[in-house]
Amino acid sequence: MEKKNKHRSTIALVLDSAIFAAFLVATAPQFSGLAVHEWLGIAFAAAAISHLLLNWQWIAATTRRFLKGLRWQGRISYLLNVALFVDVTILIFTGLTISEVPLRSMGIVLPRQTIWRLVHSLAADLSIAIVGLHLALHWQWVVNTIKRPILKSLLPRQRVPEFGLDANPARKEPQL
Amino acid sequence: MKHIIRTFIILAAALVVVGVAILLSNSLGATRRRGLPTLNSADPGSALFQRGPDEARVLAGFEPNRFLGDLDRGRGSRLNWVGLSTVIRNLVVIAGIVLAVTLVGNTAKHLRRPAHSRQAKEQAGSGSGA
Repeated sequence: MEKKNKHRSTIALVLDSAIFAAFLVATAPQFSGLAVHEWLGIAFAAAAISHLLLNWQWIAATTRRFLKGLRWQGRISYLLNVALFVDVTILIFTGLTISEVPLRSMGIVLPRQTIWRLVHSLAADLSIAIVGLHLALHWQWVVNTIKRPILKSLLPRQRVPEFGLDANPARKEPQL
Repeated sequence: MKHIIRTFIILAAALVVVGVAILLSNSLGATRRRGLPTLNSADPGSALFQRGPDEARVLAGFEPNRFLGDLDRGRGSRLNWVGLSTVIRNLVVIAGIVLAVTLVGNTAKHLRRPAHSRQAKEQAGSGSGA
């Protein structure tokens, strides 16, 4: 069971790192060019759905406990995640609306409206701040997940309790 | 704290390496590979530009991009620095937020601890350091 959880944490870390790298590149369309920016945005949507599915247990449990018995740190984290979800949804929707390359390659031409471009820019700027906060709240999990295999390979026969080796390594509620 | 700084320095260094590789490949090979002039190298007075900026861009190997203004100018080797610097700036902003939240969290945790246990820990720390 513990091995399964560790494997799951590693998969989550690899996926999250890829999403973060894609996000960073997508925030600078001048860097990648418009076509890469737009295709990356579509891939980002798929990766974000995978990220949600991987953390579905936490989402379901926190939603159930939100109004009763959840600590304020958990509530802040939950609200931040909701804000990030809304922001990313707006970002992808407006991105598709103003898209030039992927939709056109499928023969779909949408009427141009400047408002979507403006909303897309605002949502993109806001997403940098929210992603920063999201990463900050889960930083300890990131460090622990990276450190655990490294420490285990260095100290193969010792337990490392401070990094949660003998605890459930599944993602914990973030602590402020 | 050290981990945050180290991780973000590694990420920034990796981005710089990727950026330099892109710039080198752009300036060394792109024009020759396509056999077409880029916007940087095309003569604004030439027939290519007189056909209109959008058509000139398409002919020069750029995608038509009237809606996003001069976004696709970033494809020129010189202007790609603008894109890379945006990526690094965003990374620095995110690192700053992570650092700030970690600092606030650690300070809050430290202050929440009862005073006597804090003193005991500080004494133990200074004792072991001596």
